[in-house]
Amino acid sequence: MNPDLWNVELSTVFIVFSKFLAFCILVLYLAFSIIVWRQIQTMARVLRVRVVGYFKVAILAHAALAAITFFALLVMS
Amino acid sequence: MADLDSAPDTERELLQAEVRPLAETRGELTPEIPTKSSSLASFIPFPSDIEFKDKNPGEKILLLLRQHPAKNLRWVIGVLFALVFSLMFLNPLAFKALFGFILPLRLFIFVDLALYLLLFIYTFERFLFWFFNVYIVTDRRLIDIDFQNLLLRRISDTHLYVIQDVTYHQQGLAESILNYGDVLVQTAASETNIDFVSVPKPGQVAGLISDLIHKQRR
Repeated sequence: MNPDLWNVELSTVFIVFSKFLAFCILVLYLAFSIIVWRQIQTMARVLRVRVVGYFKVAILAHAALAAITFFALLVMS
Repeated sequence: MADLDSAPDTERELLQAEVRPLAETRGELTPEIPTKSSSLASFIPFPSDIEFKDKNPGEKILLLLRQHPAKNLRWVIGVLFALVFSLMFLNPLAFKALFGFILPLRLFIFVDLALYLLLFIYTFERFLFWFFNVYIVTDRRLIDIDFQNLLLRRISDTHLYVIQDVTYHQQGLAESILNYGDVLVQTAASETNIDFVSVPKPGQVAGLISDLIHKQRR
C-alpha cells in the first residue's frame, strides 16, 4: 500500500473522528443542560425563591455558549 | 411573589416581636436576627423572599436552614483539583514534556472544552442540590425538603404539637469550630422523625423549636 495514501486516510479518519467527538460532546452537554433546566423548574415549584431566575439565565447562557463554541470547532475542523 | 417586598417588612417586625421574647429567655437567636438575609445564606431567620409549596394561609416562616457551606468543601476541592490538573497537563507543551510527542492542538481544545463544560454542569448541579435542600421552621410545623435527583423528591413535615423531644449534637473538630451540627426532632411513633443534618447554629435552632413547642402547649 502506498504510504502517502495511508497518511491521507489516517488524517481523514482523524478529522471525521474529531468532528464526531465534538458533536457527541455537544449533544451530551445540551442534554445535561436540559436535565438541569428541568431540575430547576421542578425544584422552583416546591421552593419559590426569587434568585431562581438568575439560575435559569446562567444555564441558558452557558448552554448557548457551549453550542456556539462547538459549532465553531466543527466548522473549523 | 410580586408583593413580597412590600408586605413582609411589617410582617417580619411582628414575627420578630412574637419570637423575640421566646428566644431572649434563652439568650439566643435574637441578637443575630438581621432585618434581611441573602437568599444564599444557610441560616435565614424570617426570610422575606422565599415561599414553599403547600404553605397554609397565615403560616409564617420563622427560619430557613441549609447545610453548612463547609459540607460543600469536598466537591469544591475536587473541582478545583480538576481545573488545576487540566491547566497543568492538558495542553500541548506539557503533553510533549511528559510523553515526548505532540498531539494536534484541536484535540486539546476539544478535551479542555468538554472538561470545563462538564465541570460547570457538575458544579452547578451540586450547588442546586445544596440550595434547594432546605429545612424550614414555621410557626406551625417543621418541613424537610429533599431533592436526591431529578426523579426523587421527598418532602416531609411534622406539626409542632406532635414533637416529643428536640436534641442536637455536634461531633468532630470541624463542627465545633464552625458551629454546625445535627438537630434531631423526635415525634410520636406514627409521625415522621425529622433530622436537620449539618445545619449552622444547632443550639439556637433546637432552642427555637423548643420555645415554639412550649408556646403551642401553653
